[in-house]
Amino acid sequence: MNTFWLSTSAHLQFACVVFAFVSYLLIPKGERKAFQLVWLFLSASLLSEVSGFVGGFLLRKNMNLISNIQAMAVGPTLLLFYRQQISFEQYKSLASAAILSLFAFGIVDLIWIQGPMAPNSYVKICNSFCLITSGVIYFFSLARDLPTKTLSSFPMFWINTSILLGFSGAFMAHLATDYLLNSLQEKDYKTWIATWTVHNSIGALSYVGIGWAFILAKRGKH
Amino acid sequence: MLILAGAIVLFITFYQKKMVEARLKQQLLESQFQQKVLEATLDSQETERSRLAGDLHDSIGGMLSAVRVGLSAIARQMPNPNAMDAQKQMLDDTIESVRKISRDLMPATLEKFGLIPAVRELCERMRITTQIEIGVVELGVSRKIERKRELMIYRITQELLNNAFKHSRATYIEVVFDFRENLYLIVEDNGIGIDVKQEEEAGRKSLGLFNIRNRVQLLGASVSIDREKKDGSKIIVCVPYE
Repeated sequence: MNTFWLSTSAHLQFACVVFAFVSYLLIPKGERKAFQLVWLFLSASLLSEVSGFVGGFLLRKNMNLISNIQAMAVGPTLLLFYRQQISFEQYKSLASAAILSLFAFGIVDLIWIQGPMAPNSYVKICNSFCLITSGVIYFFSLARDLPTKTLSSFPMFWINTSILLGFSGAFMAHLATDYLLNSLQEKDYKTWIATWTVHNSIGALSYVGIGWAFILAKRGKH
Repeated sequence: MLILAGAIVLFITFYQKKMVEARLKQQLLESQFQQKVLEATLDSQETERSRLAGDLHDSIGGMLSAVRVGLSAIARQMPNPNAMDAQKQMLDDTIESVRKISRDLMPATLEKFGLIPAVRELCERMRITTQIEIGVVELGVSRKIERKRELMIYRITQELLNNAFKHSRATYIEVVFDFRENLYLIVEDNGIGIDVKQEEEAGRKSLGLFNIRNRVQLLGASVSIDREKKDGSKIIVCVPYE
């Protein structure tokens, strides 16, 4: 893989965020409430993608600050969403603690640990870990409560699958980046490019999944 | 991590399918069990009614008739044979009441001649007691229905007519049996109509409506109220042929 594939996958991811964002707007207003927090996550992602495209790709500026602020908001927002969806009491209190901790850690990482201009991979890894765990717990509750006969027509199934896969990819990418950039003596850019190309592709897929969930919700299948 | 997430998604998809199937199977078994319990309850109710009707008619009715004959014989030997007329009349009324209760409990006409003659007889008796005109209309060719189902349809008709008498303030009631596709039982009146909300509220408390619902469920039938009818009410029970 080379930079062509990396930039193509980044553009594809950008297009998919736009697709998911527009899909949300297609849902009738009265039925949007259940997905408002996912839409907030999409808005943050869209903002980050736009700033990355304009600032990073066109103007060649370091746009890590916006990406870091987005990361700081994404974890708590999606955890709050899961807190609404999962009915286990223990999960609810754990999620509340995790939301506060992630937010606090995000600020600390942004200001003191990795700094505003470096990619805040620590907080992103923590976000991914919490969201992967929440995704698995949500699936557990889904199998217990059986709210639908056919999973494929249930919007929350697609949202959860997308988040689970998307953040699994992010978890892997941020861990690998940390290792490649900080631990290795010689920078292994080929692996770095491959990792981020895979990350972007999975990200694109997960946004398509979220968009599809919104389309299902628009058809009234929830 | 990615492979693990993918595996979890696949696992959940298959597991959920299996769980849904298992739950549906369980619900089906539960509903079949409830159906059987309901059937057994109604069966025992009908058996008890039948026994009681037989006892009333054959035993008490028979004894009362014998007393009536004895009383007439005694009256004939008295200096004034008309002195016992009031007592004889009272006894006649009692015999008639016992017959009526016995007929209400288990209509012999239903067993001997089938559903329509039994309903006609029921309507005639009700007309005499309530002074409300009742018409029975038959559409299509009547089909042979299993005795048990026939009895349930008869009971539903009886309950719907009772409700109409009690609440509708109608002057005319029509009972229609439409045998053409499914068996449609339609009870229509020209009374004050049905407040569906109030009826639903009452349905939770009323034993009559509860019994109708149970029988409708056992018959695999459906009951609906014609909301478009402005003057009076129209209740439609659709019983599928087995």
